[in-house]
Amino acid sequence: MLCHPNNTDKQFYAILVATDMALFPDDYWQNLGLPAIADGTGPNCSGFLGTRPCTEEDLMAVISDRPPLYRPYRGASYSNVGIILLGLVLERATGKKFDDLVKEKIFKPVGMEQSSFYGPGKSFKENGFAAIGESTLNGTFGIQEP
Amino acid sequence: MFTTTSELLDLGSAILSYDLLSGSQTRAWLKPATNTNVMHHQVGAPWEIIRVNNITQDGRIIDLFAKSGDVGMYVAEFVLIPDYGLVVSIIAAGRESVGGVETYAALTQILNTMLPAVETAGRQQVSLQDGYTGLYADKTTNSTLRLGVDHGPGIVVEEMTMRGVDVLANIGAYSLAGYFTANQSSAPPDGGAAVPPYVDARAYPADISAHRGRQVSWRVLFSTISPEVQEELDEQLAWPGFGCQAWLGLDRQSYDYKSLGELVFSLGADRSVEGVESPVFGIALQKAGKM
Repeated sequence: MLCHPNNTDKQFYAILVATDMALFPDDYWQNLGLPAIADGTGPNCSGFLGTRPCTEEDLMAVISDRPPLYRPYRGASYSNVGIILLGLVLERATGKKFDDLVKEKIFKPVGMEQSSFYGPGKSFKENGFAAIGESTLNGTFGIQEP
Repeated sequence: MFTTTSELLDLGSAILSYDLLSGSQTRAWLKPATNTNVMHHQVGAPWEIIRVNNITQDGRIIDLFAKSGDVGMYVAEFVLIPDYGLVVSIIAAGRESVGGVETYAALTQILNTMLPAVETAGRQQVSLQDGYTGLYADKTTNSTLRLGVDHGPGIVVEEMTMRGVDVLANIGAYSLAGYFTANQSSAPPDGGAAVPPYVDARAYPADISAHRGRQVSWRVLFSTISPEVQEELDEQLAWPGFGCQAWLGLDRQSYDYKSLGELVFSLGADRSVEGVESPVFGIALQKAGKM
């Protein structure tokens, strides 16, 4: 079976800024043929691996002059960026922060007391599991949390 | 309703050409709303969507957006095939046509005859002298790109050398996982890192163009799951096709916000392909000729 993208839409890049290779400028990329990035340009946030979490301004600056990937309603493509934007739209529409909104509308009514976007709940000490070398526990992804 | 096959073909063409509704509206309309208990049947509004996958050599799924109808001993079948821009209209009458099997059998015959031919024609079209396949080069950066076709989907990226580096052979290195593995830093390679020995790179049109169609965007998918690995996965999991995650992985490999797989072709005024640019590598290559 051959794999091909017969379903793709979403006007924006599906990239998650957190995994952009240029987050870590290095000869390594030039040795792979990629051009060097001028100082002060390029991605500088993610929340991963010691970089600062991204803000709304970071995201808007990136997507505002990216060309579309496909025309609308061609199909579907996984898009972290799309969900992040949805989170921002929810904040604008409700006037509440995303994590407050989710706590109020979902976690509390359902009784999910251990669930949160900012650090593990109280039960983590007894029931939590962290793999050796896991790097994502101490930090936040900023607006990429959704 | 009284009509002719010719006029129904006009209707189908008008729909696919966005003459009545906009492109966005039409593309949103030609979609399933729900599934059924048969994998090959989905329901749209009002489409009877039939999913065939035994027509072309690579077994790709081709969606037929059909609408059937009948009254008395008259039976009709109206089919849109957006993937190929084709329209089929069948109108039948008589005792034998009642029940629809005859019309679907006729449709089957049409598909089995037409679609492989259309597919072959498409491959021939991109392989013309002024088409997409062939060798592209930029001597100043020692970069080459060679495109061809085979029996599979899309256009095959046979060779991709950027600034002297064999991109395909090193495809796994173009990732943060590859970077951290190479640097042996304390940060873990989240999810596999070694250079994969297998890569199948194919380019597909992204349906986006600029400058009155003089620049056309395509996307390359770098598939690193071999047929053998795919078979193992199929045995391990409760459903087949785990290795085909194109919709999930599009544009995951990015550098400075540019996709590793983006190719922008430049066409001349006569629509001939003159060159291609890789925005992520920042290299523009001229079409050198056919191999």
